[in-house]
Amino acid sequence: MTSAGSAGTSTGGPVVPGTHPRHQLDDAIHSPVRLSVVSALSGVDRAEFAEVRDAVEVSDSVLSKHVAALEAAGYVEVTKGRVGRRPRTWLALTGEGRAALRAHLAALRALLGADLG
Amino acid sequence: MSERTHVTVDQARSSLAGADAARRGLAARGRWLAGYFGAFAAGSAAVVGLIGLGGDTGTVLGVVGWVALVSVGVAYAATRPVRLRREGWLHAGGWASWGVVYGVVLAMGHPRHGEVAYWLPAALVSAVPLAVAALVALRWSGR
Repeated sequence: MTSAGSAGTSTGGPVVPGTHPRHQLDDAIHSPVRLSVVSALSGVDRAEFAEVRDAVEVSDSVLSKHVAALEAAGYVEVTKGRVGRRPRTWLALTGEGRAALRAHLAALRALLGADLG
Repeated sequence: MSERTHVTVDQARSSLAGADAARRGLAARGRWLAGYFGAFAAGSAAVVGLIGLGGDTGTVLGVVGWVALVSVGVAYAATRPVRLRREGWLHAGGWASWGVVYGVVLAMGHPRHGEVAYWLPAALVSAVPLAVAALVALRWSGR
């Protein structure tokens, strides 16, 4: 039991590094939509915005908002182009995003292990 | 500690399930690549068969058909909305190995034009690299 365990991370006080797996969770991808977006992109080199939207089952505006946050975090790369005359927006996971996803998923699994173990 | 931890554990379980579903969902949209390589595998068998057994006319038909297939395939691939992870490596490996097999098959069959016993198996062998690439794409799009 660490002192940080009862302090949590939402009290606004100084965060004391702890050993509990939840301290390893990445705030940038902790929201369900962002985690879904990053996870979806982890299986592809790149995908069009509309395909990600359909896979994650959110609206255009919701996906835009979360992609902007992920892009700001350096986890997703956004590329705009054209196929024929049609404008397209491509999304791709960066190396940093891939590493963050791996660490985040490992923390989630550890969290389950800590609880079940 | 327990309530917050239990909520987090529930969220963790739900998050992992959601992440897996999202990854599989988008990767499945890259399944077109399996059909793409499958079509080229069939095309390769047809072209080699035509070259070996169809005489001059068969050779011309085979080459024209292959050029048409490549043109359609390139245009089709360029408009696909999802590119599977490591797809470039699959293209490189699939086409490079196909090129080697195709070249060897044609070189070995050069003095045997018209021999069904050689050209039918040769046609099938030429399709193997691209068929394997199709199977790999199918697996990648389903994982």
